[in-house]
Amino acid sequence: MKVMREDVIAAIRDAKVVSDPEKIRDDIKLSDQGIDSLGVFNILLLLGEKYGIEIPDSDVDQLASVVVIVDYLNRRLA
Amino acid sequence: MIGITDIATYLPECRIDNLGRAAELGSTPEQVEERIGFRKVARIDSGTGTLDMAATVAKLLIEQNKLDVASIELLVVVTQNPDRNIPHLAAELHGVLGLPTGCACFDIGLGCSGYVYSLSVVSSFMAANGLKVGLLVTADPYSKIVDPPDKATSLIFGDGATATLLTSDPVFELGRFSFGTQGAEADKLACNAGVLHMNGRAVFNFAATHVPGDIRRVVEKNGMTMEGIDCFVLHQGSRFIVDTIADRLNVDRQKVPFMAAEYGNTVSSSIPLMLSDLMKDESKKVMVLCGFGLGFSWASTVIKRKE
Repeated sequence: MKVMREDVIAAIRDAKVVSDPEKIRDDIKLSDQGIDSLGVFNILLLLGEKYGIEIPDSDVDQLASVVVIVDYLNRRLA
Repeated sequence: MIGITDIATYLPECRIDNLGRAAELGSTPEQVEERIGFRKVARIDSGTGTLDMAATVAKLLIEQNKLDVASIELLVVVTQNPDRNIPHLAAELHGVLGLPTGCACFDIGLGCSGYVYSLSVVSSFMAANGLKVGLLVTADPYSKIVDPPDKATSLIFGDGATATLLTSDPVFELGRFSFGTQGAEADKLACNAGVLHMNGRAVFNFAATHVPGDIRRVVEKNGMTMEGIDCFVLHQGSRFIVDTIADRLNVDRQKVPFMAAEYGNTVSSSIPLMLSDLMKDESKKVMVLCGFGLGFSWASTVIKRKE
């Protein structure tokens, strides 16, 4: 199963952390697009549940943008 | 059947303005308002102790119900921050209130799940021993252990106390309960060397993962449906946690109120503080109570207004 950008955007939508998830830019930090650390917690929880993986605290800081999260999930699922 | 007859509440007058100090704690007024949710946190002054809070609110409950103290047969205090470890705070409070020597007294050392757990303990204890009048006091000033510069806890915890009158002629009857513990995570929210430490992400993940399922289970256990619940009274951990649980339950957020914006997360007092207001609304006939937090520990029940 390959994780796509749309899967992360879907999690952002489900987390209700921004008004327009479709406008999220892939390569810009989520924190610079109006998503705070609490919002990131929720997005990562939803993705962890969807893919059946636990994302440790030590990995969270690096998961700052959509492109990084997609890459991280695909590595974890490989 | 033993249930809830009345609730008295105490919030200290002093408030710390979280919006004004958001920046110095690495947050923003928007995050405080919309996510953390606590515009202010209530603070006792340095001269007020846990026993003072407990006595103030217990006296208020006795006064507003014109209770004869000689009729009180049980006194239970929920606290993790007594003024001293020995003796138990309930005994000291017993002395201050002048309760009869035949009154049973003990403390319960639980945090945010403490009120719901204690409703079960107190009502069961009263039923098993044929008691008719019991007092359940919550008084847990976390300001004693919060490190003021710590954003993770300083913007969240407020001081408050409540006293609940339980009798055999209640306004709300208690349903069946559900309990849980995830002890392997207990260290994620703990007091070490007198200072509270909290891993906010771990607390959030725990609450979002375990609480919605437990609420569904307790509703079913009580022969109800989610649609039949008038209000979900959740521990006020933060606005973000309360809203997330509402969304995961697929319940309108208006049915899952956040009411602690002006005083903060008061630990075991958060649910009775809400309930004291919600009880006055006659349209609230069936409510879910759910406390969750350090331990990690949770407890839920359904209460029904007596016809």
